[in-house]
Amino acid sequence: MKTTGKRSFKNLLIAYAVPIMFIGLSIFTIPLSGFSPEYLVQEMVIRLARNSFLVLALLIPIIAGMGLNFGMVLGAMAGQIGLIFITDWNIVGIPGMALAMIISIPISIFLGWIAGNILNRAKGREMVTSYILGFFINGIYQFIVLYMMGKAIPIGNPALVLSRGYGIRNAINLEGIRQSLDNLISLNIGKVQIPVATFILISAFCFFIIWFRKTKLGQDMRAVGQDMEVAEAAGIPVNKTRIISMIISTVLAGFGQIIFLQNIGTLNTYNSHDQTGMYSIAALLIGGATVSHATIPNIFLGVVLFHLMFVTSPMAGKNLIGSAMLGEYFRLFISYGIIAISLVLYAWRRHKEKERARMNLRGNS
Amino acid sequence: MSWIQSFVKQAGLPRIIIGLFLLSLFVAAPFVGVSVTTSINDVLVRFGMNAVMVLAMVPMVQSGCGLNFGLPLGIIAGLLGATLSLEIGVVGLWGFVVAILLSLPFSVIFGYFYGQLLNRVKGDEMVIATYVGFSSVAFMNILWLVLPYRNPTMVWGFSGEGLRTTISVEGYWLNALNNFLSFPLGTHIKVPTGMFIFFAFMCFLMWAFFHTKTGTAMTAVGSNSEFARASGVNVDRSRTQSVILSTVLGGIGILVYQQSFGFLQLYNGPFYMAFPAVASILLGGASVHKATLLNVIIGTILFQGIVTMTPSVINSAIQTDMSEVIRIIATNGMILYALTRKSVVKS
Amino acid sequence: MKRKRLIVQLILILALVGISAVLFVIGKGHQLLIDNKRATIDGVRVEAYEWVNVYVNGAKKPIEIEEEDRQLAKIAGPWHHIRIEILEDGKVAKTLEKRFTVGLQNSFLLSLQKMVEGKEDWLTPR
Repeated sequence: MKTTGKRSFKNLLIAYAVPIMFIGLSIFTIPLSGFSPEYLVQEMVIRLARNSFLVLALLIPIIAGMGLNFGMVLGAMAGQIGLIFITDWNIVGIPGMALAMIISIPISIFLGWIAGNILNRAKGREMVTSYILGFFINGIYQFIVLYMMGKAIPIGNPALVLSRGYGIRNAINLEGIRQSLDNLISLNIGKVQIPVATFILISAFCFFIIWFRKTKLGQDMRAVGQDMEVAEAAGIPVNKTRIISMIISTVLAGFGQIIFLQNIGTLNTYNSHDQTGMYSIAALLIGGATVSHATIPNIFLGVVLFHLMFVTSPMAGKNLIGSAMLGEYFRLFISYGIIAISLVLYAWRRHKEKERARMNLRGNS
Repeated sequence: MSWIQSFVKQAGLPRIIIGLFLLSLFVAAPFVGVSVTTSINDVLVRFGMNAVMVLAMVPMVQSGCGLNFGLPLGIIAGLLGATLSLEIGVVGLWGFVVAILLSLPFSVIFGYFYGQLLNRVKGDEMVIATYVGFSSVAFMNILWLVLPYRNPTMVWGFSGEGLRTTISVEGYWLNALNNFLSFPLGTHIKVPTGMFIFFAFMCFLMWAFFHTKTGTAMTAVGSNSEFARASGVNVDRSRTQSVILSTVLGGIGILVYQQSFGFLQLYNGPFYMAFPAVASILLGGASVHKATLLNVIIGTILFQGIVTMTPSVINSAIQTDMSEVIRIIATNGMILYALTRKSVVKS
Repeated sequence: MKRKRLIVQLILILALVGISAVLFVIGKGHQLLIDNKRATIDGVRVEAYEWVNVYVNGAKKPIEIEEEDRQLAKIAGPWHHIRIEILEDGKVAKTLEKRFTVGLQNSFLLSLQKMVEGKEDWLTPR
């Protein structure tokens, strides 16, 4: 691969078209929003700590060629079930968080295993299937949490249960673990507070993924991601590898949701997981990732750019047109739009490659 | 026993199970204090309301574009037609007709570009359609807020601009179709004849269309695009036509729905409206690659039957309102089932 | 080979369960209700103190409890340390330190009077 300097610059520009677009957007919205730089930096640090882990969970299915894991909400739900239990038992602080994570693991493994099996039956349309699967499991989650908990599943703490006697309340106060990880090691630089422990955990899992990619399993996953048939021929158990990638992703998403919610401090039992998948995926794509390729820098760049837009656009909308609602809608539009555009660009590129391959085939014969 | 086997094979096991389940719900209904006749009335009305939107799935499936998860795009066109007709202020059945006519230019234009887009992403239509639908809904959120509508029943009272989230069509064309030629059947059933006639008319048009040259070409593209191409059919054009048709029907479908429902649901209203329609046609026996009018009719009856009856029977039986959860599980379970059928997986 | 894997997995699961149990114990949150109220101990009446500063687990800021009052402290885990300063006329008249462990109950009642008098039941689950 020898390219001239000019050519590679152009390629770089194409590869980072989305992030560059968002930097351009932010240049407009930041001054319009009127937020102070300090506020924005603090906000970005908080949101990096809060969201990076969730986005991290998307990486492994991409390596395995399963596209964007819209089914990561499964993990989020598992994490929330863990949180409901520790809140019920009143386990607080770091042990509480850790216990919630441990509780989420078997649920995540089970859900990830289901997801993997289902996606193996829907090869070639993993994304839409995982998306619908998210909705489906959400139905089951609601059934369990809204109808089983407090009845078939004992919940002792009356503060968690709806007044009718069963079902979990809409909002759960997570005061026992609120920001326990963020405040474990807290560092102040200027006026900006940095949750060091959270970042240590995030970087630990970044290293885990870097290490994982080098293992036999990681290499297998990459092979499966590139070409399932070739991988099968090479003796890699394709289906099993794909299931494992889903399990890992789901478990990580569960941890991510717990980290996310310990920062927020309140669990919206029936809504907290709703947007998790969409916002994480939008952030990853804004960071310059594609359906088939994502790196760790994509995560951090994406989280910062996405949330810069997220934080500034309502205020910018308000100051520009006098309607904060407009900014709200704008960021919703951007979140969905960016996913649509990225998916289109990716599919378009693949479609063209396929067409070119067919042309070549015709030319040869 | 062979006829049973062949019947099972033809109708498909899931449909039989769900059909029997629905039947048992009707049988069980009186025992838990749910009126059967009222339930039948509900199912009839809901069938009429939703059938056209389910019909909107057919052209795209037939041309190989997959399930139209981008239905919200057509719905938006319909809502534009509806709001415009309210702005003009035509009432009665004519108001409804005007709404349809006004929605057409939008749905044709939207459908054209949507079709062009889908032609460039063959093989990934469904996930992209989903997000095209979502982002168009989100984009319209902005437009509903800033478009210069003036009719005071539609805009927010205090600011005088920006459309309300729900707009009543009462006094315009509420039940315009439902009441057309409608007649009572017993004490609890009022047959919404107009909706049925309208739906039958749509079905007829669809049937006729698929017997024209353009229509058969579309089916050919869906069943084997390479072959169709070889026999001189313009594949991309056929697909675009099908997408336009789906979008137009989506627009008409939402108008039928909302004249009966009584309200226009703007903003986030259309977000998830594609899912029940998708689930219905799959429940009717359609696959990702093939759908017939019979699939539409059976599917809509079964799906609406399930979502009407299950909640009311279960609610009465165990004194708990579980309708929302049942709807979510039934809708998405059905779509999931269709997406994972082994025979379906190709290319 | 397969058996070995099974054993390893089993050990891992047991370890996880063990860790969970430990986390449960050390993370269990309790309410500690601290009473500064008149009490009758062995038939002798002990009056409430005028003012008590209570430091739970080395807290820098005390919980201040007036006469005939009850205050709440949130604690987590089984092992705790308490230091009290009994104030009279604004001066520290007496300090007392104690280590104690609690079970898995949700809330405990601590009577300062019984604690000072050295009674066994100064801390009771509630």
